[in-house]
Amino acid sequence: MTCSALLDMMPVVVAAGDTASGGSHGAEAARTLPGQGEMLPVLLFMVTAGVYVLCVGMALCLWRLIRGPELADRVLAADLLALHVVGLVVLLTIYVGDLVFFDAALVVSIIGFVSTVGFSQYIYATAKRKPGEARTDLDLEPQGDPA
Amino acid sequence: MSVFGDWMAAIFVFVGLFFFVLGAVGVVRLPDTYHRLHAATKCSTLGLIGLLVGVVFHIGTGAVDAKVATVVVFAFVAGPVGSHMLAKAALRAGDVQWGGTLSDEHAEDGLS
Repeated sequence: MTCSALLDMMPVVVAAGDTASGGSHGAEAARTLPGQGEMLPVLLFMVTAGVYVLCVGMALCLWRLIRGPELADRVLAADLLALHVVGLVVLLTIYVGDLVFFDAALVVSIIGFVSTVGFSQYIYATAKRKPGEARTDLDLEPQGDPA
Repeated sequence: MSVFGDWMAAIFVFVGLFFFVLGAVGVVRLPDTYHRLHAATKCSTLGLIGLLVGVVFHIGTGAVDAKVATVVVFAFVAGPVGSHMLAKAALRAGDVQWGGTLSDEHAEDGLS
């Protein structure tokens, strides 16, 4: 089976629940998917270029996530990665011209914030205290001064 | 979805993408954790605001405005708070500072 035949089949498979409306295949079935809304070519170019820009940015964040010498570097790279995903969702919202996907932006940003806070608490709690530094509620080790 | 709205949306999307690029390049290129936090948080918050204002200009109904306002307020609160907590934790964990750092008031106050 060639690749183009697979691509022709795909909208029919996605819109399989819609066949009761009668005689839908190919291009007509594809219209049941959220497609591109109306927009000026300049905005379409910006959105298309933005997808590439955000993908390159995600690759850069991934590089810092793998490399980053400290744990804090990795955490901030993951936070930035989540923000890039939010940016992609926002670009998709502009492209579709409808709010169907927009809630994902809020959800992903909340998840990114919560994970950042959790990892910072972890870094803070597991750090060795300096001599004479007071113990806080966040500390995991219950002993006295490490000195 | 007017011509004016689409042009404004294109401009704001461009500004947002510019800040996103700045943040990503800064995270790769800057010398230590604190510099990278600076680049990541400020640039990405501004970039996200740019993209969201682009959505407002492009679609521009009441529901969009409300949802975008929610995300903007959340981004403005969550970005600095998360960044501050992470910087505090990194400072306590003793992450090395860049050799060219001129002033370390935390150390001058005897806190680290």
